[in-house]
Parts: sequence; structure tokens; C-alpha cells
Amino acid sequence: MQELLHMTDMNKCRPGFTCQVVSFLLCLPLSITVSAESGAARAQELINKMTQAARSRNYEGVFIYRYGNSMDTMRIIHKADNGGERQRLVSLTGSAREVIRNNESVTCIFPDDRAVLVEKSRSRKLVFKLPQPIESVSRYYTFSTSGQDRIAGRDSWTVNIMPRDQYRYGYRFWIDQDSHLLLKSELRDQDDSMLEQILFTQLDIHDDIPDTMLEPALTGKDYTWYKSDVNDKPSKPGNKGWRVTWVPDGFSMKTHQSQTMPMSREPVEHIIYTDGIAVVSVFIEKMDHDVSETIGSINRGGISTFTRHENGFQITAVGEVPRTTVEKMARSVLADNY
Amino acid sequence: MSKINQEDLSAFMDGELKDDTAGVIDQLLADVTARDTWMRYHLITEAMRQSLPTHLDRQLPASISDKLQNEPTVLRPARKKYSTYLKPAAGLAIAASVASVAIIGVQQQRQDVTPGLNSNPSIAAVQPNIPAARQMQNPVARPASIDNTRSAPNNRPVAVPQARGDSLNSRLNNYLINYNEYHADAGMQGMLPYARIVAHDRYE
Repeated sequence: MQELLHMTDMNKCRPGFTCQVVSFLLCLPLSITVSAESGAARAQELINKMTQAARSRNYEGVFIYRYGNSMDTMRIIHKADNGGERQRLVSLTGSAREVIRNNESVTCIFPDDRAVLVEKSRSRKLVFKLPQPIESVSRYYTFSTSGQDRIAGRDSWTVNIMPRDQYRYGYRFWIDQDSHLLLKSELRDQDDSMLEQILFTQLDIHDDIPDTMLEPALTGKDYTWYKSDVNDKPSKPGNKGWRVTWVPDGFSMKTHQSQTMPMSREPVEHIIYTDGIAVVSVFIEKMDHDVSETIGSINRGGISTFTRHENGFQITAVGEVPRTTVEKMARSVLADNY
Repeated sequence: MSKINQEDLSAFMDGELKDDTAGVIDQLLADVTARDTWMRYHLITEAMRQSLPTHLDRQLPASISDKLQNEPTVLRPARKKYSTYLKPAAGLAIAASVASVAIIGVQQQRQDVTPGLNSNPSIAAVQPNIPAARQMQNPVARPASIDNTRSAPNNRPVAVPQARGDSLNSRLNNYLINYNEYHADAGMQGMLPYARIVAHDRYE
């Protein structure tokens, strides 16, 4: 229960336990540094294999998703064949929300809101590789492996990614030794406190997944649909007039596009920055005068967002990074044209 | 009622609370939220030990206590302010908790412009036990404070762009989807990103 307390409420540890954790952490580096080099390479190899397995395997599983004091149980069904990837995610607790993703679209069904949101999906590469050479990301994160564990009845390898500054989060992955699928995952802050967790309780790997398993349980009939128009123009290169003038060290711009979104009348500028591990999106769009949205910071699980308004434009930064990072980035956006 | 101290609750579960000065037992008896926390802690413990049953009914304790409450011999006054199933709904889908409070205020006004919204039998069949939740989550509702500042809100039809404006932070959902989609090739993806959209926001 003491461990649990630490997990459930990171800010309030009884003193005895905190001492134990601190002394444990102090001992840790000694054992790791011995094989740091090979451990880091092995960790990166496992991460690449994990990403590829998640995209190329047929599997069905049930996992627990925890964030703060909130907990949900979900089922995931994933199919990959010549037709590409298809995935269905269903909440088993609360209202039966679903997200269905295929080659064309991402469909989110919210029975509690009586709403369906449809967005275009982007094709993604089957093979994922962390940036090479390894030093490019190792400047900002420490990679290591830390032995074995058993999750959902399967043997796993454990991989740790620790950030070296306060602008990034760390990760801990438990990866199935057999299939390389993710069995457990934790998002951690720089102090190694857990922010978010995924824990599979059951995972089955199949040769084939029947299509019926990927159909939504709800038709969404009579719901409000927010849908990307099929006639929407494809994304165009972004307006170079917008600049993000501050990013954490190691972040660079990946793409800058101007794209249509179902909720927005005018194309939205979407600028993507990454350090190879974390990704931050900056969205800039012209707002109707009478539309009032939340300004400031909102968290969605491990995702931080920060929104501000300037001269009729809304600037929002979204990322799996600490709030400081999205806030500083959103505040640093400058317009040359307006 | 003061919020239950999670540290006390945890100590109580561990059997480490020598004398119950904090009134943990009293709070557990009186406070639905405290009982939920208590249950959640046990659930997490079970999950960590991997001894979760295949089927979990989180409403079961609530339905039992509801039944008990309707028994002829009532030994205590009914103290529940909210039914348990409403609690998750209260925070549901609205990242900004403020909005959920404000929306109640505009229900009356929105009812007349969105006729038939709650009249679909198939939906009722899907979620028979949370009609109130649906009311609160009306996707075209907007914070009352904002509506009140408008010149003639009642005369405006609920045009699609307007309804799209800020319902349930749907623009944020939109951003999240786009973020997720571009994330896949830009950086590492380990947290099953769409879990965050499926998850219910019971947190602040």
C-alpha cells in the first residue's frame, strides 16, 4: 500500500517511504553506469521494435488507463494487413466512448455528448527509428534498461527514458519479450513522479482479426457529427509569417502546414516541433469574434495545452511535455504579417 | 464537509492509523467521494497484484447502497446529495470543469432551439441510466456567462459554425487528433495516444 500511495498521490508521501525512495535512487546510478553505453543502445533498439510491433501486429487487449485520481478500463483491437492499419479503442468503464482509426479517418464517438468527431488520418510509416546518431537524443534524455518483469502473464523487458531538463517528460516501458508489444507504460516528470499509466491486464496476439471486431458498437445515428469535408483541400505549406521564437534545446521544426479542420472555418496553421522523443504542435487560427474559448492551460492526461489570443487569432500549443514548455512556446509565437 | 485526507485513508487501509482522530471512518460513511477514493485504492491494489476479476462492476456498491436505502427500516437519514452515477458525468468530457457548471444555466434556453435532442429511443437504450448526464453534456451548450453577454442570443438559430465553436472543447479534441496523427512519424509514441480521448475527465 505504501507503493500505491506513492503512485496515487505523488505529492503526499509519508516520510518513511520518501526516505526509502531517495536512498534507493542514490544507489541506482552505480549499477547503471557500468553498462550505460550498451544499455542505452539496447533501450533504443527495444523502443524501435515496440513502435513497429504496435503498428504491424494483430492484437486485442484490455488495459487500465490511469491519470491523477482517474482510472478507466479500455479495450484495444488492432489489425494490420495489406489494407493498412485499423484500430478500435473502446472504453469499458463510464460511457462507451470509442475511437476508430483506419487509413482514411479517425472517428471519435462520444455517447455521453451524443457527438461524433471525424478527422482525416495520416498514413504512418511501419518502421519507426529514433533519431540517429544516438547522441542527438542522448543529450536530452538518458536511456537505460532495467531488467525484467511480468505483466499480463507475459515476460517483459523494462526500458527507461529520463529527461535531462525540466522541459521534457520521462518514460518507462514494459515491452513484451515475445512480441515486443507494449504491456505497461508510465509517463514521468523530471522528479520521476508518475503522471500517467497504462497497464495491460490481458493481451492476445492473433493471426487475423475479424472485421466485425473493428466495427463501432454505436452507429452514431442522430448524434451531432463534426466531420472533415471530403472536399477539403489537402494541407498546404504553412504561412511563413508565423514564427515560434522559443523552443527547448534540441527541438527543431518538423513540418509547418496550413490545414482544414472540421471545427474551424478557416485553415489552421499547424507547426510541429520535436526533439526526437517528445512532440509539440502549435496551432494558430483566426477566430470568429463571438467565439470564446478557454484561455490558459488545460491538461488531458499527460498532454499539456496552453492557449492564448492575440489580434483575433488563437494560438494553442499541445504536447506530451510539461506545462511550462507549451506555455513558453505559445507565448513566443510572433506574427510578421499581421 | 472537509475533503478526506488521502494520506489518512491510505494509512487506514494499511492498518497504520492508530486512533481515528481524523474521522476517516465517519467520512467514509458519509461521503460518496471518499468511498469512491477508497474503492479506487482497492482497485489499484488489485490491479497491481494482477488479481482483477474479468468483470468489474463499479456501480455495484452504489446499487447495493441504493437498495439498502429503499429498505423499509432506514436507520440513518439519506445524506447522499448526488447519485453516484452522476459524479463521473459531472466531470465528463469537459476538460474545463468550469464549463460543466455553467452549462446547467443555459439548459433552459437551449431546450427550445434544439428540439428532439433527447427524444431518440435508440440512444436511450444505449445509456438508460444517465439521462441527467446527457442533459449536462448537451454538445451545443456553452457557458452561461458567455451567452449572457450576447446581444440577442435567443433570436439566433443554432447555426452549425456557432454550435461548433466551443462545445466541450471540441476544438481541443480536434487539435489532439491532429497532434496524435502527426506525432506518429515525428516522435516516439508510447502512451497509446487515443486513450486520452476515450478517457473520462474525472480530474480537475
